[in-house]
Amino acid sequence: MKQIDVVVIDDNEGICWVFRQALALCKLNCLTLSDGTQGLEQVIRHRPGLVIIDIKLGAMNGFEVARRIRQNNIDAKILFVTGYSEAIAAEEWGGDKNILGVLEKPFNVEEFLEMVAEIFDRPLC
Amino acid sequence: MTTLYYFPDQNIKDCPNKHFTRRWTVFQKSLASILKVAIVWFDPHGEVVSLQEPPDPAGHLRQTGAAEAYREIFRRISREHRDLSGIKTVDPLGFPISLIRLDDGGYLLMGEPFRSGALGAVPVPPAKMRAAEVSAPEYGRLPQPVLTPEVIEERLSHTAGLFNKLRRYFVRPNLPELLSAVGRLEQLIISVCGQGYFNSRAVFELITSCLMLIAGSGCAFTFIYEYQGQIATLCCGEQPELVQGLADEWNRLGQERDPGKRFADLISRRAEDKLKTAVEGILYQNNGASVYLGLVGAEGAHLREALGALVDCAAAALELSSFWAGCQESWKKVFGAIRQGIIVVDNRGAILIMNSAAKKLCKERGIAPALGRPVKGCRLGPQIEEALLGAAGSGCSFRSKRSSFDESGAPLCLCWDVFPLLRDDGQSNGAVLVYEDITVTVQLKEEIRKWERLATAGEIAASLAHEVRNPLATAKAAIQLLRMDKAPLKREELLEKLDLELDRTNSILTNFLNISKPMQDEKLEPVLLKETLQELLFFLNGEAVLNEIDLVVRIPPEELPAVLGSANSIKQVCLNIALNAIEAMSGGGRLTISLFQRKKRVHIRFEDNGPGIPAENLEALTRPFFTTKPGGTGLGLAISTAILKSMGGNLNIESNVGEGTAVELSLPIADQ
Repeated sequence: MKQIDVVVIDDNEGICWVFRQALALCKLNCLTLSDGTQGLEQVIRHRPGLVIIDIKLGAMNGFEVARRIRQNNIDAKILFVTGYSEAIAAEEWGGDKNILGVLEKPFNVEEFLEMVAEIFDRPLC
Repeated sequence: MTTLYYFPDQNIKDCPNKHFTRRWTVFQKSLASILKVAIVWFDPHGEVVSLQEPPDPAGHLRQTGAAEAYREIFRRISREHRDLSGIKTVDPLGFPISLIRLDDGGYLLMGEPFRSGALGAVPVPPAKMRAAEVSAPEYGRLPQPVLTPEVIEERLSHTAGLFNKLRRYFVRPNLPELLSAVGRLEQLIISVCGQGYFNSRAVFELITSCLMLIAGSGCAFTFIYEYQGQIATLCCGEQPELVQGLADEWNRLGQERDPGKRFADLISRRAEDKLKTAVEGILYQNNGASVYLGLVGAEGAHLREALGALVDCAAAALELSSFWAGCQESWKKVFGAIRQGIIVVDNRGAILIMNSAAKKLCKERGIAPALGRPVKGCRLGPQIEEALLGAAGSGCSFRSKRSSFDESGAPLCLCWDVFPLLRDDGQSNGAVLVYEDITVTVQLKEEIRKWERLATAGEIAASLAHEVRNPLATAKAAIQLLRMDKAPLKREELLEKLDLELDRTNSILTNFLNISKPMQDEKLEPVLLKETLQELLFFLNGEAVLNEIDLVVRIPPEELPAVLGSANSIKQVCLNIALNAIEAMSGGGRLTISLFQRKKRVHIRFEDNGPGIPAENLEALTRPFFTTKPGGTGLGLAISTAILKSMGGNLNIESNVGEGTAVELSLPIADQ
């Protein structure tokens, strides 16, 4: 089975496309899913280093997906993405070093890539 | 139900006149019924004296009140021991009757048309009104707070007229005439306590204190009125000095609480000194009310008996006059304690009474309407004025109405009831308005609604921002990636993506605008929904097969009337609804589409047996950008609703989790 480095859960195909293209520049294998439930399944299955989650998803919202990931003892780093200017509740996520924060759309691809390079400790190609 | 606890100054149990007690109880009960309140009376020791509760047991009141009153009149008749045939009097309800003696000694009470007598204060009621209507007292005849000298003079001369007549009977003793005079006095009293009338004027035509001395050859009398500190005295007859002197004594001793027998002895002695003959007198005193009748040279037992009856009547009248004044104060306090405004009008719409709450509202609005003036002066708005006149004129009721009235920037919202004051013959005596000022409540509600609208607008704006940010983010990323110019990305693919995302942004904004003004350019025309639906089915059949959906279509064979709309827009709406249903049944299912007419509308109903929609989501379904579907825009149903509304149509969604969802649209039939 191919190693999956990043799982992206976002119901917008355009955004998924952006992550696929950008992560490809770092030679990271990435899987994009549009639904929280399927996304969670893939995270459990592949145990990636980074999970990127859109906060506003359909049936299960991004925070709920993150909570389930933690419940399954997966210590992947988590990055939330949002189109609203949403803040994450410090009391719930503040103590978790693996929560990287919230990426607001539209975002800067280069900055994103720098962050990813740091996480995976590999240079941009 | 409101409960009023009330501590009366005067204990109703102490009233010696049972008619009056009964009438007062009836009044309380009707008050309780009209206002839908319970009135609980306590005596000064905290004991419950009476408890009146709605709902109005009208039938019960009628029976008990009337029965007791009739028993009393029969008791009076039985005391007479003489043939009273032909005597004209009034019954407990205040209506004229004559007596017919029966063989066994009993009497039959026969109603007869009223003939105006010396007292002429009681109006003529139709005979059928005897069934005793429970109605509020005649507020219009309430005495003014202070008697003017003119009013006192008028009443004195009125009473003098009555006693001049009485004197004639004594000068030429004639028992039937005397009894008839007594009967008239009785009528005066009964009219006060009779069921149909609270004739306060009749009470005040009575003396507040009476001293009468009747001699064998002549008659002298004095009347003393005392009301709220004003005293007026009238003396007439053959012995003016004697009577004046006695009147002074009477006044002086009357100040003492209980002059008792000493007073009677004094009067007898004085009269005997002057007239040189024995005086036999009857004194009645109770709670400040006094009557003395002195008979000089008694001329027979029957005369004394008649005098006894006369003194009884006068005494009852005196008691009533003070008790009635107390009761008036009492029910004014009851009205005053009620939070709602109460205005009573007569049958011409003139204000008879206003409680404190009503006066307060008028005062707050800078109006000071006077009693007896038209209710229009209260400026409660045309709806209430019309209702009051309607109720007072034709006896109709208005319940739980609301009206808003804005006069020169002072808005007034009232919640009100108007009841007629009906008598048994169906005639309206006037009307009662009970109202509550809800202006502040209404304004607060409006404010809350405004905030709710703003909150929804805020949510929609946030959703719109989110929707636009997705393609914007993609487009921006595409540009950044293009700048990086790194393999393996192809320049052409990036530009294509950029173009696509900008188109998507535009499409979101266009759709959003469509919600506020859909079908701007489309003309409405008659559309046959049967045809529209059949065209749609060509497309839906394919979708159903692909998604393993069992498509059931129920179209009636007959032609249904055309609706007014745009065929393309309706098709768009139907397609949206049907695809939603198919999408909801991801594991297959059944979609039933029915077309039918109900009244003046044609309906299309889409029923699926999918998972259903949770109740908390149902209301938000037609709100823009509300979606639970991954990648859904949340605009489909919002646009559909807006399109239907622009054609005068409706969209109704019912759903039960685990059973399925039914979406029904309806459009009005095009006018022929």
